[in-house]
Amino acid sequence: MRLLYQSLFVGVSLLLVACGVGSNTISTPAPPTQAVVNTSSTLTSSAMGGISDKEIVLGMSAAFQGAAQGLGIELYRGSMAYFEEVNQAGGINGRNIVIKHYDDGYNPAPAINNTISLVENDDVFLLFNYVGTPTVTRILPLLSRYQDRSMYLFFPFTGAQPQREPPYDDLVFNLRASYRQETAGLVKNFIDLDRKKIGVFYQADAYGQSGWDGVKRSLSSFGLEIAGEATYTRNTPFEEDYSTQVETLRDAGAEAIIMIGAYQACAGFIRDARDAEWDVPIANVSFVGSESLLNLLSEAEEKSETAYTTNLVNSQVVPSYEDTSLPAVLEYRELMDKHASILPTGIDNGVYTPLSYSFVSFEGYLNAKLLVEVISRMGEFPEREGISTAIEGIEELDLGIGVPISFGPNKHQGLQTIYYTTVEEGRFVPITDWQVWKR
Amino acid sequence: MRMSKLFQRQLIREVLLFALLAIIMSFFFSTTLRSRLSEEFINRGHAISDSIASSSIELILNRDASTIQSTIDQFVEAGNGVGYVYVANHQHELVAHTFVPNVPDEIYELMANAHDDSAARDVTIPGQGNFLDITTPILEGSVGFAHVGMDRNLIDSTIRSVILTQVGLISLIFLISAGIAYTQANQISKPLIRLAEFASQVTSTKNFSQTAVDASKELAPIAQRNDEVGQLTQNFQQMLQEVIEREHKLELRSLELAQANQEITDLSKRLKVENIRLEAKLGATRQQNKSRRRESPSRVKVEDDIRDIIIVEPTQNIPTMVAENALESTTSKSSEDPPIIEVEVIQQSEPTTEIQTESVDESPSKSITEPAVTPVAEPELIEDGTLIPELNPLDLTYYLQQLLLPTAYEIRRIDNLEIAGASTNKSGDYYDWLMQYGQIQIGVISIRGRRPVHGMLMLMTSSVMRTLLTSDENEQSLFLTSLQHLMRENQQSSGQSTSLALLDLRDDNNLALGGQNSQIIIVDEQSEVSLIDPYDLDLPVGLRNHFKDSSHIHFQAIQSIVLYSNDRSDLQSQNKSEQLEKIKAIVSDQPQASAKELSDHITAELKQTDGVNDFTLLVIKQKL
Repeated sequence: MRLLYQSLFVGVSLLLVACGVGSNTISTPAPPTQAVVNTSSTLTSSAMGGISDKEIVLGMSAAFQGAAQGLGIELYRGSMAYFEEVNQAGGINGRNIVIKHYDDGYNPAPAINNTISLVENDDVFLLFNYVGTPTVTRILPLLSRYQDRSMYLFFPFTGAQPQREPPYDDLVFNLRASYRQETAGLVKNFIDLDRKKIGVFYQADAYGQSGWDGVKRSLSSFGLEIAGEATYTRNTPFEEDYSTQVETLRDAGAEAIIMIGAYQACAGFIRDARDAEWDVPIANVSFVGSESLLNLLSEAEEKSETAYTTNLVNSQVVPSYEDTSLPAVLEYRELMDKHASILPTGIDNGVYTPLSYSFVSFEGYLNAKLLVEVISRMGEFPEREGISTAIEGIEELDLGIGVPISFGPNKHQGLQTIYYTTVEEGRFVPITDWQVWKR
Repeated sequence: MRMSKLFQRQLIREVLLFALLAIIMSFFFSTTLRSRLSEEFINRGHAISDSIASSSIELILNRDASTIQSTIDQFVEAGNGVGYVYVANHQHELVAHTFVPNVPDEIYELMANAHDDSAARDVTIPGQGNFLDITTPILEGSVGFAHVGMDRNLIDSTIRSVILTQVGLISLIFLISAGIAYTQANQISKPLIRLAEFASQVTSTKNFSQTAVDASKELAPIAQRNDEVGQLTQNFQQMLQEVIEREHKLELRSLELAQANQEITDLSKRLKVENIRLEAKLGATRQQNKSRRRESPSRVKVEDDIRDIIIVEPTQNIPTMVAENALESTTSKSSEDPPIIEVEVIQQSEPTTEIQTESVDESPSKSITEPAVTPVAEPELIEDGTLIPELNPLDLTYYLQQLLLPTAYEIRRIDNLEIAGASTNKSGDYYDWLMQYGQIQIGVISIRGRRPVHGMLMLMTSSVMRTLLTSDENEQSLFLTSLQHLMRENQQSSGQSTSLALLDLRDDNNLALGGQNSQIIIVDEQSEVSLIDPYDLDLPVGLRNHFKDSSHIHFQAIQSIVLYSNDRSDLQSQNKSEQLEKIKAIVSDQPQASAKELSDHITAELKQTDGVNDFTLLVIKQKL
């Protein structure tokens, strides 16, 4: 059936060319003429490129179940809060934005299958909000496979390097900073605090290895090496015993810990480290899911009356949602409050308690806001082929976070800033004084 | 549930067999599997390691660690026995790995010792198990090394799984086999157990016949089986039937014995009574004679001997023996005498030479009457129970001999023979016959001598014969040896010789003859008379055990037989021959005469003509 429509599309296009319509009709989002566009839209939008007269369908594969479900759910909620608002305002040129989402449980194999299904069966406009390094790094070859369809991945929730480097960097657009940037900032800050023996606790997969690589490279730039390292298996729950890993790093004499993991395992490590009366500063990168981590530790803290939430440093790739001086934060909080009940289909099962605000949902909100801007720039009849042109044309865009965002043909990452937070009074707040961790 | 011993043995055999099978197969499969899987693991490990090494060149050189990690993760996730994968750079530093919770020290050692060529080394990681570390250099080691750890634990678990499956299957087969064996053993053992139970019941019950019949009925379904168990049951049933029949026969025999015992008891009592009475009469008679002699010395001297034994049957068919003094029966016909009865067997004794012959009636004829017998008045006993002192011991011996004679009951059962005997010696001569299980043994015994001791010897000999015969002593050699031994002892103790003639008539009418110091005269159906000396039969008593075979004669071809024993060894053989010739002549001349008539005739002829008064005679004739 799709072949039939494709044939019709090609035939009509050729007819239009023959009739003297501009040759840039297909490659540029700008509508040539209303009649033609309408005709084109009528003929193509309902079945091709994830665009119809009423909808723009985005494809999302993320962890909506399992140990990392907080990441996928909150990212979805943040994005949908904004999309819902846009949709309620009439959508983008009358088209509502819809996220076709699948759960991959933070595992590569389902992510691959989901991607194939989204592209082949759902014919989504683009791929959006993928969660996790091990999943994203594995679907990257698929983007090459579907390059003829101009299938792009927008704003994956990972700071790993593979999608930022050839040959996939042309097919992926990132908003957030990389893990290398996060880990480099953390390493620098710890070294500044005279904590040069840095241990790494990381997830035994591409995500963890990416962060491990970032720490190693950063330390190497200071002429240092990783003091010790310990790993855990992806999706290991909070209840697991992490004392072996704690002991490994403690025996290595680590003066600071950088963790490259998800919130359940990282919270478990922090718990066991504090239980072992090891109050070393422990840092997490943005992927961890700070609020989910804090919730687990706070609950455990109440039960054991041990301080689990002290000496924590979390790097973030978006500003703190507590910083209400930022217009984006105000809007985010407003929209999250307004559309709090939105959950991915099949997720509202009582197992997961949505967060009011979080760094992850705030990142989802920013991803959505930027994507709407990109699609809006594609004109009334957006097409995949015009996606890269549209986003690469963004320069100094103000999303309301105090930092301008720019993209370009060789610049597929919008933000470069790393924000550092710590826990105070039961919430993550920007760090104002690093010296408290000075040795 | 009671398990039959048959099944227990079979079960033990099967357990041992299957255990042996399981052990051998487990050993064989584990060895083979370990070898094959190890080979397979090495090949697979090399393939994976080579694949990683070839795809990692660009990654190590140009990409970050997460890209390499993503690549090696795929191999671990795919399983295939891969325990771990790690990639090291040319400086032997880890670039990516899959170890949790940390990189073991053993891996660092392996990494440091990696060479430029492919290698497979066994490594044991504490807490994680045994691995086969396969190393492939990347660009000859100039870029790095790819290591793949094939999990030997998987080999062990695979072998365990296979062995467990195999043992499970063998156990299943064993259970099925045991079930079949149990069923089969039950099919065999249950009937056998039932048989054993019935056999036990039959042997322990008091009511044998009924129990045996019940058992036979209950075993009928088993007996219908067409196999060895069925055959065994049928044989058991047949055996039960035979035992039942024998039991019935035995009961009949017991009844007969009890009856005979009762007869003997009754007879014994009557004899005692009669003896006492007779002695009393004899005493009175002597007194009368003395008185008469005093009055008339020419009066006849009273004879001491008892002359006749009369056997009668009472109305209750219990034979009653009445001893009648010959003198009384002939000279005193007083009204108090018992009624006359028909004589079936008569034993005669010759009066002593001192006795006045005119007072003795030698006639053996007596009559048998049915069945009225007037009970004899019982004489009084003296207080101490002993007999009257005047009773002659020789008479007493004689009476005892008569007690051993066949009863009227026994005589009546001999339906095809006439038997008549005569003995001239009150003490040492005797004849006897005995029926035993359908065969008739007849003997004539004569011991020389006329004192009571000789009578006792004769009684002993007769008792031994009876004992041997009634105890069903069929071993001829033992029988004859025992008899001869006794006779020899008799001869040694008493100084008198013993004569003996034996006749054994069996169911099949085969006749066996034997003896010592005796003669046997046979008249066949053509009235041919032949004289047989047991010595001629080559059958000296006790020396041969072919008693029957050597003297084999078919009784149907014989009219009559005369057993004749004369204990007078000092007689001239010529005289003895003459006696025998006379006997032969009498027997051959009177083919129609009854046994008794022949016996009487021979006795009279020998005594009157030749004065022979010391012999024993027995005449046997077929009833016409």
